[in-house]
Amino acid sequence: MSDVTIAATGLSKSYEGASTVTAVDDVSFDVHAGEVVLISGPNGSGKTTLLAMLGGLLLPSSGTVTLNGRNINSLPPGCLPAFRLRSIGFVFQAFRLLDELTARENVELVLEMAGARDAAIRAAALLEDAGMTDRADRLARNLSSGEKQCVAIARALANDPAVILADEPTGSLDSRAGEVAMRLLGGAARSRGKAVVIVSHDTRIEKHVNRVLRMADGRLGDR
Amino acid sequence: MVPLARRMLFRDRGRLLVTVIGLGSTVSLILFLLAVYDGVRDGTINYVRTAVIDLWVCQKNANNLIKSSSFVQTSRAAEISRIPGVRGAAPLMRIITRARIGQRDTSTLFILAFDPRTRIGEPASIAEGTPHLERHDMILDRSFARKYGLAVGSMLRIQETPFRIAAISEGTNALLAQYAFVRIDDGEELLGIPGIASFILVRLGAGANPQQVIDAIRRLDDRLTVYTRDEFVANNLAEIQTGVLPVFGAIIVFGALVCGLVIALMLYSSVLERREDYATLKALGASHLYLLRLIVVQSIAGSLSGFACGLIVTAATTPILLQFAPSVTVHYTVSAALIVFAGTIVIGICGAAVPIQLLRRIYPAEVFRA
Repeated sequence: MSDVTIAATGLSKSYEGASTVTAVDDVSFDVHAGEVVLISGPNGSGKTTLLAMLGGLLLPSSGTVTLNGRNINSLPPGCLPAFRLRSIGFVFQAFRLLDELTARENVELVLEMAGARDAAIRAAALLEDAGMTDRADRLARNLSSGEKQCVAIARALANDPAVILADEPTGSLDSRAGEVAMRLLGGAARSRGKAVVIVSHDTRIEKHVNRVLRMADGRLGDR
Repeated sequence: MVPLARRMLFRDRGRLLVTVIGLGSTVSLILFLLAVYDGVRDGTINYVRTAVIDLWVCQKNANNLIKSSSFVQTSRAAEISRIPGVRGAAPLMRIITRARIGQRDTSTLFILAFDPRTRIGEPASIAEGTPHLERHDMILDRSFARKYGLAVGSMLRIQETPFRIAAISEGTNALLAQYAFVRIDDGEELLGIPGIASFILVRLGAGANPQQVIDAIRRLDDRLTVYTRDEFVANNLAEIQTGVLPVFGAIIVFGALVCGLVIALMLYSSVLERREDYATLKALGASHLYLLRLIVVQSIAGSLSGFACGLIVTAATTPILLQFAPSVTVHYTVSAALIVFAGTIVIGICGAAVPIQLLRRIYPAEVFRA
């Protein structure tokens, strides 16, 4: 393992209302480049809130997230999208592909947003790595769930980010497609040196990860 | 380049079609109104502009042909014609009245009675028939003739006096009224007051100094006002613009607002429906500028499709509309189309404002909702 890539320090998130609800409570951990970490826990344990804070999609109530030593919470709000685009790849349970674009265009899109000039070539290479070459020109809405997740993983890797954050990546997949998705995420860590953080309550994927962190009631415990 | 905006726009074709037809209808209405306005403006000033008249002599404070009340003595024409530099001068009488065809009264006619000997004041464009008028002959505007099914040789009555249509003129339709031309002696008969005209029309000789002639006319009678042709055209134009333009302008502004609301509503519902996609784009790292462009491109593309539809609707419906309203003269111009085109782009940009506000309220963390 190399240097710490992403680190959460004293991360908390509370929602004020009639009564204060603490979704994430003083969570600290770090993930190294090339490492796959699973944050496991039941529904409502705060996993997704934690992932949103790691991705800079949600501002923590307290604590910090550092990515390659840079505190992402201190970035001006206007700079966060560009930072996310280049430094963080997302994989979602519901895939979140744009249905009216083809598989290739979905990958190209994030490359173009980042200003890549060879977007088409790089998208083709990423889809090839994901085993999706023969599906590249199909509209996303016409792909199977497993194929959609492969495209989503290719899209997450498009801008060569340091970190991949995956929310229930196997949640909408059957066992076989889930295996494929996990192999791709594991490959991203091993061969591309990405730090991969997965939140899931699917215990079948534990065999694919380096470390499992158990989360319950917003708090974290190592296992 | 991934054509995301186009694909998003075309995703719900039904909604796009309804929007484009709505925009197209409004654009067509605006184009039609502009064409009617141009037709009214040209019809109103065309006679003043094209009749070969260098100076218009009116009663003091009268300054236009359409609404001013002006009375001058016809004998002034002979005095003015003796001024050095004047090639000819003749009276022009304006009578606002109705005609009667069989048992039916027509809409208002502007009858201009001119001197048939000098022919100063006759219309410049005769479509058919002869401009040489005998007693109780008339030159009638083409739109008026079409409206009442009249042609050369048809008869109509003015104040119980029968007139034969000797010719049909063009460019003599002022929308609210059309022009008809008769001999000055017929005009006097209709008016019932001999020796009185509305204007004295002056033609200058070659090389004459207009200002010197104007000064000489004013010395003749300081109760007279003299305008050059350009000044008189401008006066009539101003009269139209203050009278008709605000109404047309208000309808056009209202139409533009409708266009803006239609496109805003279409995009608003589209963004609302695609909320998760926009949240995804935000989560993935799309900049605000990128998303702004995505909305504005859709808005402008939708608006321009509406403009194109409007052109087609206009071309298809104008002949039908003119059948129902034959007295309306429409002048479609490239400049008016370009103005509407530019307006459409501006409306497209403005119409994007509402969905952009909605976009600001979409949070990227929404992407985690299952």
